Amino acid sequence: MRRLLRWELIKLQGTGLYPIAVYAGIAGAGVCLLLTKVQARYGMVPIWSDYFLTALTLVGGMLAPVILGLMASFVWGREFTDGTAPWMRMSGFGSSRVIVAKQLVILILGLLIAVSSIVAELIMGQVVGLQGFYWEIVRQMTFAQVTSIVIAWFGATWVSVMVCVFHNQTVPMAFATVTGFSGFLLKDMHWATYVPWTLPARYATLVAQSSTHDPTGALRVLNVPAVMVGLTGIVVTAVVLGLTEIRAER
Amino acid sequence: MTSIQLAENAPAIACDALCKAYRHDGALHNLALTVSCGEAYLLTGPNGSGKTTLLRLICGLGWPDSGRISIMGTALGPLSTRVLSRVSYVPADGGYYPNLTVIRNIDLAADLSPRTKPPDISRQVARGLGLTSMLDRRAVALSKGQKKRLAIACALARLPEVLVLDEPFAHIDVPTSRDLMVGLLESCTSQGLTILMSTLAIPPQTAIRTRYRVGVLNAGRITRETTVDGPLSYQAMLSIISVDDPQ
Repeated sequence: MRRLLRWELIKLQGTGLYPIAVYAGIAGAGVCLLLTKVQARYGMVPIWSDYFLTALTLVGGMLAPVILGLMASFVWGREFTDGTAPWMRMSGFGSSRVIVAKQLVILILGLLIAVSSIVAELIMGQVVGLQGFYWEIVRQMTFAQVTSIVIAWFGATWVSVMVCVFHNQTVPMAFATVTGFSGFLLKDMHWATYVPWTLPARYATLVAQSSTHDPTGALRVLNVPAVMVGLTGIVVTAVVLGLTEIRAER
Repeated sequence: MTSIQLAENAPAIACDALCKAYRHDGALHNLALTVSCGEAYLLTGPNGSGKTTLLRLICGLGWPDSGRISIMGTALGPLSTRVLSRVSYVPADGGYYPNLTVIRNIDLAADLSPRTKPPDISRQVARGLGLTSMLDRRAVALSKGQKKRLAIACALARLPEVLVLDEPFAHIDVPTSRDLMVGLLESCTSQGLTILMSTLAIPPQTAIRTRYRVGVLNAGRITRETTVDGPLSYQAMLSIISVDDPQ
């Protein structure tokens, strides 16, 4: 398994996915800082907790689902577009281990987004001199950011299903973009609980609405649907990959 | 010790009553094919005759509508990953990661194969295919012919027992494809490798010293099989194909 994961990581060298993950986190932090400063123009004191919560909503609730979906489209879809898909069936590892290795790579890319975002938020917030810094909020928001990324990663498993059905990157990328943005827009609808791709945005909203900004309380509400979305995505990917014909040609 | 119980003296590839139809027309009709271990089999025939479909079914990349395929005596099914790991496939296009260097691509293929390999297998294979001078170049920067050789190198680095190649000489210049053809077929006898190769034509003036079979696939059926014990000229190859070409 470790060998498979190592090669999955190596396969992405030179594709630009690692820098894109880091830049996405930094860009998200930068945009949120601007939003926090704009709020300050209307009489609100720019404080750390507002900044972190804006970043959680924007990066974890909207940016991460879209970017992770696009990355999952690429990680899976390139096997079909590069004609390397036969190795997924012929490597001798079994498709379940191949699937897990690929999903772990996507999670690692998501964690890169989360870490770069948190680090950039800390640096940018210090540079502009935000008020009300305390370490507990950093701990809470780091936990919340990572959790929202993991929830977005669960949703991205369905993008791999799309790739295995369509054998390309275009349709899954469109699916990831539409579901990522629409999830953010639909998160406040009362029926959104039943729409899997609203989960990251709903999680961010629940954390923001909590009086203590408790990230674990929000997780307790959403952990079952999030895990179910992820597990079913992985199982359906395995079934589709195992049963459909693999077109090796571009 | 492998858990697969291989049948004694089982053929490397055995297809029996194979049928496969696509939405509009049939690709394979009641096809039977047997390739013994260590044998080279050249599959030829006009475009659309079902060559790629047959190769894909043999590699477990698709499922026949009816009929049976076995590799080394083991019937192929959806869970046949273990036996499929003994097969390498070179697709008509692609088969490597464009963003990785040549040596990385070959290393990856070698490392992900379950078979025990010598430590310098990647460089040995690269040397054999004339890729030594471009080991650190990214695959995307190679010419079409070099990319094809890289795809073959990746397949060979897995040390397969059965090598399946789909149009391996497309985009490769005549002298290189001639050397490649001779090298591949001679490795059958020296290393016991079974080769199934689809090709529209043998490169002109190829001096093959080993024995091999040529099968002509036409409209989903093998209409002629010829055992060649020595050189097969380009003209002779064309005549075999043209006799069976319905057009």
